[in-house]
Amino acid sequence: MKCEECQPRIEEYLDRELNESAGHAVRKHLDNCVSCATVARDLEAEHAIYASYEPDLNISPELWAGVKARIVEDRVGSPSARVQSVWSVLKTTFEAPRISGWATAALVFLAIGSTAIFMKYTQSGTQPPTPQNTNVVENKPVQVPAMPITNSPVGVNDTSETSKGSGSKAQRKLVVARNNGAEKVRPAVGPRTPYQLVREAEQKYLAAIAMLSRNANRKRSQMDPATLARLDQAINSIDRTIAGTRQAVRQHPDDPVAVQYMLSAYARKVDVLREIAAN
Amino acid sequence: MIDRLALGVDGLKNLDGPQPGVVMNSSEDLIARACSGDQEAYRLLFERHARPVLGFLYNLVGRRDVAEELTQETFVRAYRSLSEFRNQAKFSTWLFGIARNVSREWSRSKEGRDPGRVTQIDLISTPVASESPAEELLGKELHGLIESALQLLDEERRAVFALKVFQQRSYQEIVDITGFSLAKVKIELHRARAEMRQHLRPYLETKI
Repeated sequence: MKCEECQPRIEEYLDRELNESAGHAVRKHLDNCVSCATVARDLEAEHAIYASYEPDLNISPELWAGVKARIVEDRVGSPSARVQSVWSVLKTTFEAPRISGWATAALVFLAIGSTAIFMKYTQSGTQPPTPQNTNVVENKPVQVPAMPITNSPVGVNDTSETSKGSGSKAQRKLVVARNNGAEKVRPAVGPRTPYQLVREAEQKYLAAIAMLSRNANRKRSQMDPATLARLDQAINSIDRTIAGTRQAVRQHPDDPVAVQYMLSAYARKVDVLREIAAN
Repeated sequence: MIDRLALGVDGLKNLDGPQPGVVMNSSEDLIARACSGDQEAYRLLFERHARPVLGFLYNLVGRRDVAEELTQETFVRAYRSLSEFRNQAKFSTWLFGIARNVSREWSRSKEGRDPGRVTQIDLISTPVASESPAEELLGKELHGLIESALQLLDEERRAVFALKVFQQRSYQEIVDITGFSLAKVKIELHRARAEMRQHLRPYLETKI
């Protein structure tokens, strides 16, 4: 092997990229050629310098937390997550025999919240705000998915103005009544749609959170700063989750996973506020 | 439990015969589990590969905060495309390919095109095994020089150089990661070495 053949191959040789016979030929030439051996030695010295370079990069726990949060967001919005219907998720969440621990706690608060709101408005002679009233604001007809609705979920119907309907078929629409130019939406007689149930549950969580927040605010001055900071951090994190999941639910109202994440985020906030209020 | 199994993989590598814990946490198994929605499996994959991916991205962008952000983006994208991963390639090679694409997108962004970014390189303290404070100082200076010189390389050249020299990838793996031909990989690597040598010449002359 001549020098002009060897030198272009020295890098490959040192990188261990040459096959056995080519590597042997280069090695043999380097043993007998001072100038090529010098080139090889300089390259090896460079390699040694680069090998000593290793930036001190540690993987912080926040890095995985960030990846995980975004994966969860993706799952909420993914089409494959919408296989299950909203109705079945709501049934799973609210049906008594299958109720889970957090759902039980949530329902307790829902009941407290609903009762408190009802009492407050009864005493003041005003009608309680209902999910149907919320729908008035949006003024959008809501469609029932094409599936039979058989059971009303526990803890959802207690403050509703909607009477239990005779019809259980699909494609029920809200009837829009117009009275002297003032728009008012009245629901059609019949069971509520999954969309309405979600809105009701959300309204109740919001009411419970508002009440607990007032209690928690009164307790804040009595708490030590470290605990307060920790709880505030938790609440901020939950608020971000709520905002994200609410947006996902608004974009994909028929996505049961999005609904589940949103409701569980609300439940977590209730738990944290309850912890503050209990201190 | 799973963590312990994962951490034990390296220690069990040299043992003969199948090891149940190892089989459970082989990359193929973890990928299959992650594909079916097992977040814990994906976390283990993250733990195995996050450090080299972060290192590679740091080589490419020269800023720790950006490298961390891009690492996160890489793993999110990998998760989204996990079902498309074919076991013909190594998972780490596939991951590095995603990381490179992510970094290229960042380079084309407004922040990435900022001409002043070379001067923003984080000089991350590097543990230097040295005999004296003077050598330690020299070592730190050298690492700063390497990082600065790396950022002066053309983006493609920098990627090839970082993959070969710092990530110890084979030429074929670099071909798979970058999509370049083998000839281009060799040429870019040769030119990158020459340019780095130019930038580091003052130091190299004292050391070699």
